[in-house]
Amino acid sequence: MLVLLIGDLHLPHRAASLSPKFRKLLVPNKMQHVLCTGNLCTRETFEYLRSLSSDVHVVRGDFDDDDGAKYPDTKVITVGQFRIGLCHGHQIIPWGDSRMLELLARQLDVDVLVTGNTFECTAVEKNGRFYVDPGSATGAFSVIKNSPPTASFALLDVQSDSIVSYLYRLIDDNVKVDRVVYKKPKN
Amino acid sequence: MNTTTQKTSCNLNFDSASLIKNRLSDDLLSQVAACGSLRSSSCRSAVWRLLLRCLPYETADWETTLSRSRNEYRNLKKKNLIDPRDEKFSQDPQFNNPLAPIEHNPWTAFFEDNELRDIIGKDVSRTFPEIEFFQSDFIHKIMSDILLVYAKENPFINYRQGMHEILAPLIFVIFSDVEAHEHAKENDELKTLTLQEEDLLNCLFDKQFIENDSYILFSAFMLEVAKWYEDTTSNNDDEIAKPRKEPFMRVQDSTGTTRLMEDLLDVGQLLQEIDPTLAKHLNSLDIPPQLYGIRWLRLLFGRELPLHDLLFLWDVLLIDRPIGPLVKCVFVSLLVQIRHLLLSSDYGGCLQYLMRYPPIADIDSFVKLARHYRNPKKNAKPNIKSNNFTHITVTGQSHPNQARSSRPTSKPTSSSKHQDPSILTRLEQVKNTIRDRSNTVSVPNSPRKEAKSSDNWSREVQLMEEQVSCLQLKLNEKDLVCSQVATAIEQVADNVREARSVEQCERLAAKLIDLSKILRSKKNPESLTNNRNNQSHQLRPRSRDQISHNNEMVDLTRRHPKM
Repeated sequence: MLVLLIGDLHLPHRAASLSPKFRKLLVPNKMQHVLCTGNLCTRETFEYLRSLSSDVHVVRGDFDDDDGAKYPDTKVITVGQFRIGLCHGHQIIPWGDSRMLELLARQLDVDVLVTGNTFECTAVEKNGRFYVDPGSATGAFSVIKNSPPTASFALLDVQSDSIVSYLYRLIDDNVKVDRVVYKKPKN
Repeated sequence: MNTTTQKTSCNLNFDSASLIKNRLSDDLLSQVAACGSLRSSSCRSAVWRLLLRCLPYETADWETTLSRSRNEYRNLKKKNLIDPRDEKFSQDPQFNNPLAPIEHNPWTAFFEDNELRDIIGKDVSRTFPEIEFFQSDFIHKIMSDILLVYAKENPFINYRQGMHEILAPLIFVIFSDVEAHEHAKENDELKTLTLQEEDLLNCLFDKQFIENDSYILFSAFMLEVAKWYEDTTSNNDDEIAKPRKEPFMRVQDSTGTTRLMEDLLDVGQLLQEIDPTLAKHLNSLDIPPQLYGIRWLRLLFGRELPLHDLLFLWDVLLIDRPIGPLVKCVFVSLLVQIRHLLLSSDYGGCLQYLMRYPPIADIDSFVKLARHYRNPKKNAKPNIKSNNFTHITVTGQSHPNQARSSRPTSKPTSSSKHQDPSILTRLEQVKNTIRDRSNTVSVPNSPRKEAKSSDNWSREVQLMEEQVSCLQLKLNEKDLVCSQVATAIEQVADNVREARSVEQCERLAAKLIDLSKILRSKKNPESLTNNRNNQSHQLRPRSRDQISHNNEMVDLTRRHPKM
């Protein structure tokens, strides 16, 4: 079961479009679910995600207000044996703080927590839970970063007792892929 | 039991031990299959494999053949079912990731199969919904894998809907034989065999290789059936093969373009020869075999017969290979079986009967009829009675034709006249007279009341039909029990002849008493009759008594509304 994690596109305010390299990778009939951490900013972006998979889940980012769509702040999706929590992350103060993220993961009682807002693509395991940040898919500029961020998204291959996460980063107009494996701890 | 008695008497058991003890040959197997003794045997899958040449007749070669073919399937599976997470692929995420557009990415092949896997999965989960065996995930997984491997190994056939219904009975047969073998091992029923022979059977019925054996049997079986699944219309390079579409053309007007259509045309001609009246009736209604027969052929009558009868029919089909001619005869006999229903129905009624074939009550005489058409000189025409439960479908729901408005009153009694008046036809007549009487009720007090009473009638008639079908079922069941007990008694008789000591006689006497108990437990008053023929003769009049009793009951209720 493949799950696409994507977010912080900021189209069209901070970026003009998704990189053609990424568009070539993202084709329909591969992913079963799409989880979006928010800041789509327009209805058209949502429609694009819908074209990739019929099952799209979106949470509200801090720039999603004006569009009329009412996304929730957090959402929990069950895929196979795993509970995946989804949150944009601007509500968690300080932004991107690992201890606050752990708190949220405990609150939602999830195995995997997906958050955005840091514009940094990461996947780490901590205390038996898996924290994934798909970063910004367009590499839109961020107020909290000095250098321009790298465009990135993530893909989870959910199996019966483990998740293989693939991190796709666009570095010098070439797609670089990393893999992080997370095994569900036995109670 | 030795081979000579095996050949002369048809009701002997043929089980896995006799597979080894006897010299196997086509003659022996076709005799065994034709008389229906595979129905209660635990080696049907082995006989099918022998008949389809998946196994050699030489028992000594079984082990090598089996291990070779099982290995073959394992390799095919490894080749065709690609798991991109497998260690054997490069583990560099730059190349081995689900989205990489490069060649040699294992994921690309995986995604290509996904669509086929989805289609197969959907069909597999709908296999025989009324039978619990086919609902388990274990069976679903086996079936999907086999079908996927077969589709990838035979790209010119690929996967077509219907194959899963061919595969399902095969798996069922193999699985139940393995279960029976395990059971026999637990109960120490294999004592008569030497250790070597027992090993051979263990190898033949191995629980580990159910999937492998099913695939082998399935692909051999498909050699016979695959021609009906071919789709030549997709080959665009051959312009001639394309069906020419002309204005106002009906299905039956096109000349055979696929082998399926050709065979259905043949069936139409065969019906014309065998039963011109019925053929004319169906032609005048514009119902050619091409309309309903595609499913009959592709599933090999899987939806027209209940599973246990279907397996027996397949036994008979397999001994007459290539199965094409016999299948056509079976097709025609299915139609002839319900000719009185078809002749008295209109277009919609006919289609309902053909799309949801009313179950056959007595499969034996039906198979005999089909074999008679196949070879009239060799096989005598059986005494055909009206042989179908008209009010239910194979799945046991009430037949849609029941709900249709009443049939035309001019019932063609001619069709039933020249036939033997069996229980069912007699009842049919009774039913009709009742219907007629209910229609001619003299000057009802109020229209409301009249409607009520006719409503009562239809309910009574339905009730009666249900009772009769129950009785018929019970009769069949008892027939089976009797035949089995008869074989057991014959065996005991043989043993008595050989018995020397008093002790042995004592044991045999105990066995006889056991047998009588079996008969008694089925509530047969004549429990100690030792002969199968006797038994069935005495059973028949009894059931007739019961039916006449039912008629009386109906009569009582008939008087009731008048009061």
